[in-house]
Amino acid sequence: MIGYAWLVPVFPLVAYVVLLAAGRKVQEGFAAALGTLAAAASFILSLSIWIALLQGGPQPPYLWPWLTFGPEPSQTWYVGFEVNALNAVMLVVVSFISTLVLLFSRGYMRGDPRFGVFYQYLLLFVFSMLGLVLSPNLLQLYIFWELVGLCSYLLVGFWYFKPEAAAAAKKAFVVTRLGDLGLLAGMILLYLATGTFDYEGIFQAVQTGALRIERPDPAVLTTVAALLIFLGAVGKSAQFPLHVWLPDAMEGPTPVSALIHAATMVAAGVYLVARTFPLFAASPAALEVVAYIGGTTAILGAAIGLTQRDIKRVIAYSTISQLGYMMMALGVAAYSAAVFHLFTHAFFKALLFLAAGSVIHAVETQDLFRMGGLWKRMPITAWTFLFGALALSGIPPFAGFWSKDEILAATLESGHGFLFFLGMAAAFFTAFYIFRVFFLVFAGRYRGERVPRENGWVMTLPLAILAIMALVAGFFNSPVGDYAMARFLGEVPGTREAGTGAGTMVLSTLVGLAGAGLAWLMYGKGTLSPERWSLALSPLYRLSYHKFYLDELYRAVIVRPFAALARGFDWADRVIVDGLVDLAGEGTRAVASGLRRLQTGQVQTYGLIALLGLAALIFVSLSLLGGVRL
Amino acid sequence: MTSVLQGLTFGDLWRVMAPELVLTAAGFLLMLLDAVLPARVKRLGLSSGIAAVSLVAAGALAAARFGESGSLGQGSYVLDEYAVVFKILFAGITLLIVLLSADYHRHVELPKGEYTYLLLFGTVGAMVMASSLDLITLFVGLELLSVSSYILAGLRRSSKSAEGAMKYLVIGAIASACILFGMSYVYGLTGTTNLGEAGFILAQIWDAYRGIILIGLVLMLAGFSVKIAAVPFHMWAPDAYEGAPTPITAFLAAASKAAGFAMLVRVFLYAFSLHFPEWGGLWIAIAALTMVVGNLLAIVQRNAKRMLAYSSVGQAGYLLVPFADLTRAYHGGNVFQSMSAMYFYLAAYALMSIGAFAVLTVVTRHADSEDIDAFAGLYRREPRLAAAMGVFLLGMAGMPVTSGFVGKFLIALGAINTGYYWLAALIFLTSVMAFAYYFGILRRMFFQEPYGGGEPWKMSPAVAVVVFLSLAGTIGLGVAPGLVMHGLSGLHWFGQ
Repeated sequence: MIGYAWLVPVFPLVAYVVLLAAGRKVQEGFAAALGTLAAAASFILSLSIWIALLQGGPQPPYLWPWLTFGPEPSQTWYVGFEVNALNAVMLVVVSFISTLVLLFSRGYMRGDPRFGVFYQYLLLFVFSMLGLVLSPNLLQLYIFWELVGLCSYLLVGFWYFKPEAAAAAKKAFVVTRLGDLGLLAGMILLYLATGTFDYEGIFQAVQTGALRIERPDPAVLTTVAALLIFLGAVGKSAQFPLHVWLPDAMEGPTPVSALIHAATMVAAGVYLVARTFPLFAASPAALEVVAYIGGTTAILGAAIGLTQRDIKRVIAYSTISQLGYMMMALGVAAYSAAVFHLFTHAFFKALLFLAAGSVIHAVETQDLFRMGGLWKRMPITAWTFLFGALALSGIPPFAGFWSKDEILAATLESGHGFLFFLGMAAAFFTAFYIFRVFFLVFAGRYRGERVPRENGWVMTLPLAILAIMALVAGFFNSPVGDYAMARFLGEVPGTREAGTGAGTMVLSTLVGLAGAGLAWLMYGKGTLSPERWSLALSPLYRLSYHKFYLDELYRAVIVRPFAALARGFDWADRVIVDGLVDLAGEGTRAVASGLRRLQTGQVQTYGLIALLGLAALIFVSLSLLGGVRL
Repeated sequence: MTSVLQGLTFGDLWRVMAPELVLTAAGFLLMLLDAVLPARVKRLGLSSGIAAVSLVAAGALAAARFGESGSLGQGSYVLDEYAVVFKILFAGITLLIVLLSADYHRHVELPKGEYTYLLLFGTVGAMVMASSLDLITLFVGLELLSVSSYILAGLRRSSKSAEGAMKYLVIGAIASACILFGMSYVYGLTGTTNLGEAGFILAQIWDAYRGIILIGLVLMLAGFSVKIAAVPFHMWAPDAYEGAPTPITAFLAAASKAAGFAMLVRVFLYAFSLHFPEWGGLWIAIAALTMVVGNLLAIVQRNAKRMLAYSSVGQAGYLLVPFADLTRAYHGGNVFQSMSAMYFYLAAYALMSIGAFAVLTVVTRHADSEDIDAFAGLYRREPRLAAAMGVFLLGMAGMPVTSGFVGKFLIALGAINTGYYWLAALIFLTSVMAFAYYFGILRRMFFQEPYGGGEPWKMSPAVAVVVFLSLAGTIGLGVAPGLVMHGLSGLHWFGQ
């Protein structure tokens, strides 16, 4: 079964090619059915691979030499695929969410003139993401890493005629490219140091310290390489300080946000760190950086989410915050807790986005203060959103409770008291902001114009399925489920046993309830006035509302100086470089036309030139090479 | 001679030179049919069909001999893996040319019978060049290919065609004279025309007769340089390429060049290799000069065929580099590495150039012009054709994911490994120059409005097949070069 794993990405690829060939005038129903079926086929295969792995245990990667070059001993680059516990989980998550999102998009994108193109892009993304997960080495991963980035760019900018969408697409691409640069540099550094792109080869070399680069010493080199790889993850997974692209990316269609910017692509950074964990484990300093960046991101995202007015932006900041939790977990070596949270988060965050999409589709606005009172009008959306919110807030027995709790417990156990405090504070904020959204959207009176109605089954069915998953996905790694996932993931050297303290459980539940309760008092029941509170905490409120002024800061510190620098370069370019280029170009042209003048078209000249060439060769060979010794 | 021919059975002949025999027989059959069949019947694709079948058979027969070795006439004509891989390449190239010609004949008035059998005889000549280990048979093969090419280049009924062919003939004759003169030195010094024996003796008497040996060597080098159109012996190429019927231009660029390299490498590795480091500098100078001048002159061309001709000159420079590397590090593994790199790039370049010329036939026929402006707006007229041409051009310029990139990468890597950093830098620099002129066509195809209406241009099935095969090869070798490279790195080449 595992030998057929390469087929998993092939299904969406084939569907993509078919839609590409069919062109723009393809029937909506056909495109949606083909796409959904292809993703469903991938899902079924992924599931059977998981089962096969459960029964048979892990297998070595399947490799084919791609390119052999250089003198003996020649070097070979491989392509292929591998299946292990980690990426089996990822395969199932990615293909499962993809299937539901492709189905949901049938309703959400109905009537869009580029409906077929939308499905093409989505399928290309699904193919690339599955390929990324299956990659057995860094080189292949990097290719797919860039491909998913490209798909994200295309999909964020799908409504390219909206200036915000075009700008957001560009921002997403440029900011993540910054991280990719780090990944590329780290990859090349590791290749030079270990002579291989293969994960296992790199881990072995790092662990034994047998590196080909003498200086700096192996410990420093490992830390540098790990941090460079982490930089790639920071960009892709929207970690502080490169998180600024993700909220803007919400300009894309909502199914895209659910699939790419919540469940799959943004988790690729977490996946990368998890897959290369032995590298990080070899460098305590790098792990500390990962932990603190993760913790900072968790609290920062949650704090900004408190005050946003746009429903999708709140959830986007929530995603940033939750990805921060995962990174923090990896940083404290709680490997299985991180993967577990990635797993549960994919379901409930995709659910929240799709439910938000369902709401947006019905009311045609994203402004929270123009919604309200939808509980009765959109019951399925409301119920499923509630499930998602409960899971996100970490209320037992929903999925988020188990995974978040494991992360917090592991953080405390590892002795990172400050990070534990940040995590708890972020948990409180999380519960508050998501229930603020819930009450603003579903409670009270309707404040918009358009009459909202519940959407059709293609949109509500995925919601219902995801809601069930948001409830039950957590049991896989709970005391109830006997920590099945941790056992499935197996022993990764250098990781920590995920422990659960009863104290942490109670505390985090209370914190979550407190946050939700405060939101109820402010936005549900109305006993506390949000206006008065925001006025009282005015500086903090503004700090949060303006996203800690990070965009402004970047504009002042990075964009403006770069623009000034660019203007300087532009001047130098136009005056100096262009001058030189013109000179070179003119020179080239002059030389070329001089040479062309030799090409007179007269065969006598050709013969003469050949003869002169021959004479020159003879002269050179006799005088310089051989010496005349006739 | 009787002693050589004694005991020679058809079985021996068939084992060593089956592809040549098949193609020669098919050529004679076509000659016969051309004489007896009425014109009405000839117009059907009969001759192309026979030629295609014989070429497929020849390629298959050559491939069936992989791993075997043998020789005829006391080692003057050999069967080794070097010969086999080149014969497969020649058969493949000519097959594509025959397919392309089948469409070309329907639009351009040409004596079709002669055209087709001359192509087959030329291919036989190329195969003989790859298989010969004797100066005399080598020369016969060379002349068979050359004479066929002269006639083919002049078949079009235009003054340009006649002029190009005439120049090709005159310069080609000078080259043949040089080669023969050089060979006579070798024979005079060693008393044998067999390359293996001559090489052995030359190595022994090298120090005593160095000057005379070098004169012979340089004469042959100059002659061969004409055949592969290396600078400064390239000047016939643009005129001949421009005048020849376009499929024949593709044949000259792909098959003639590959045959020239097959012969060049065989002769120089057998006869002079032990003292490679001493005279290899000449080779490097020619390689560097060819890269620079070919690409430089391509920039100023406005005729698409001439541009591709100069680009083809530049490619010869890249192809010489793998052997330039041998001057620093001459040993068996290195030779095989260089062989693999050169063969890979030859095959890659053959596919790309045939594809590009196939697209060119469609464009020139519809636009009735060979100017690069004829490409304007091709994307609007026929997006698939424009996309394919884009791939071919980017491949020749060396963009990743095409065979051209892998080929240049392997060649540059060889140069770096032997310490020729400047040669690798020159490859990179001239590739950038190549972008300049390829980009001119790309810009016209994709970003300019088609002039005069912009009605769609149809391509015939035969052209579509050629373009598709070239495209599949170009991308296939770029995505999965390992498939070919692994086969190549496992070869023994000269059966040693």
